[in-house]
Amino acid sequence: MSVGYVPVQWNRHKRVYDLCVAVAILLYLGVFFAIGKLVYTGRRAISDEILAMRALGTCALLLLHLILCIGPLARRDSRFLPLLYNRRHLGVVTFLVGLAHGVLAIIYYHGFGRVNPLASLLLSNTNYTSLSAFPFQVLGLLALIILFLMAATSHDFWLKNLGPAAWKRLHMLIYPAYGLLILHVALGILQTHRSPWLAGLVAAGVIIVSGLHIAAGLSEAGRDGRRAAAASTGSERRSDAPQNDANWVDVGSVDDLSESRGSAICVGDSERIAVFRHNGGVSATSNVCAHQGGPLGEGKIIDGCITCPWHGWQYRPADGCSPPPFTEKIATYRVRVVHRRIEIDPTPLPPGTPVEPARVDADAPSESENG
Amino acid sequence: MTRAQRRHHLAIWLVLGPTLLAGLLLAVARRPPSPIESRSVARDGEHASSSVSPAGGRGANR
Repeated sequence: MSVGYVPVQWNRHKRVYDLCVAVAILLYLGVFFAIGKLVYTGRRAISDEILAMRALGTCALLLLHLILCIGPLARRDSRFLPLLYNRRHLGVVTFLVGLAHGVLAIIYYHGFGRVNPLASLLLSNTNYTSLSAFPFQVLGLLALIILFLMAATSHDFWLKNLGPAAWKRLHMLIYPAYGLLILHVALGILQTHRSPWLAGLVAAGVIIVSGLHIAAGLSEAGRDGRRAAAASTGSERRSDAPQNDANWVDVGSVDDLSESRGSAICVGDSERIAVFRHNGGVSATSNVCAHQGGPLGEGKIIDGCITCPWHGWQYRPADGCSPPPFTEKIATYRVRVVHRRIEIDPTPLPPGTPVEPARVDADAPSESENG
Repeated sequence: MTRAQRRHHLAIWLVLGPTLLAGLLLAVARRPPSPIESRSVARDGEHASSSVSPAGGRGANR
């Protein structure tokens, strides 16, 4: 969370995650190199530098695919959440592996002339109108620059200073970077390496990544629609309520909520609302975490605080404020329990507004009041 | 993510996925004849100055 500056806030999970990533990368590079030596023999033999370049390049591309798959997988299935927890480290590692590939390529292909290697990369081939002779290395360089920007600003220090909206916009550059890398491969190695399985693998990667994102987006849109319809039905059920009750929306029974667990509900076109049951009370806050927009309703209450399932940021259910010394705030909602039905006023209160949790155990209608 | 962000992501992937696939297919379909074919043409004398360099041609050493 956002207090002080610590380069890496290590904990056991992060150490284990990073160790697994390092071992997997070294294993991949070693196996790729060994198989390359076995396959490319005799007249087809290629140098160690080329083999290392290919190993690093394919490794970076695989890592980028993995990173892009983690988001939609975690949105569809909570078992993938541990992968999301430390995705930023994976991003930094991807940049470093890609950088090693790029440096090796620049030295090998552009480092032995009189021209500056970088100038040689940018100026030696200007066939921008040819598909087969396109200067594909420039595409890789552009993607590497984007990955560098993202790796350099991945720390929460930058999230805090740039603001969540600007930070998110910056990190959406991962999509153009992915496109540039696919074109780098399509106009580079696929122009000379003609085996259909390689082109097929790249195409399969694109289909899997985009398919997962599209499936997750459509599934969430459908879920939002069903939740909004259910909430709308709840409102209709209470159409006989007094006029001053018009804003209250029935969002379900308290018996559907487990203790210390949450649920995300959708009312009309408004943002999702996270509803939590804790210590005999029901509270409602924004479903969007102030850190990276994680779905708070899918989290749980730990140490008396709503805990985001993505990176563990916490907020008190009663006022939407992070516990001291942290300063983040999220919007809260008025909530009441009427005959064991939870009702919410879907108008968000300013972030950090205290709202007394509605008591579940009270038989008579109880209503939380602002302030 | 907010609803707007989710819609934004979905729209991006609905455009990016098919575009990348189409680009990939186009790049593969428009590949020139392989270096081996170029060499045979050169041997036939129709293209004495084949673009294949002694080092193996563009990208052959990648």
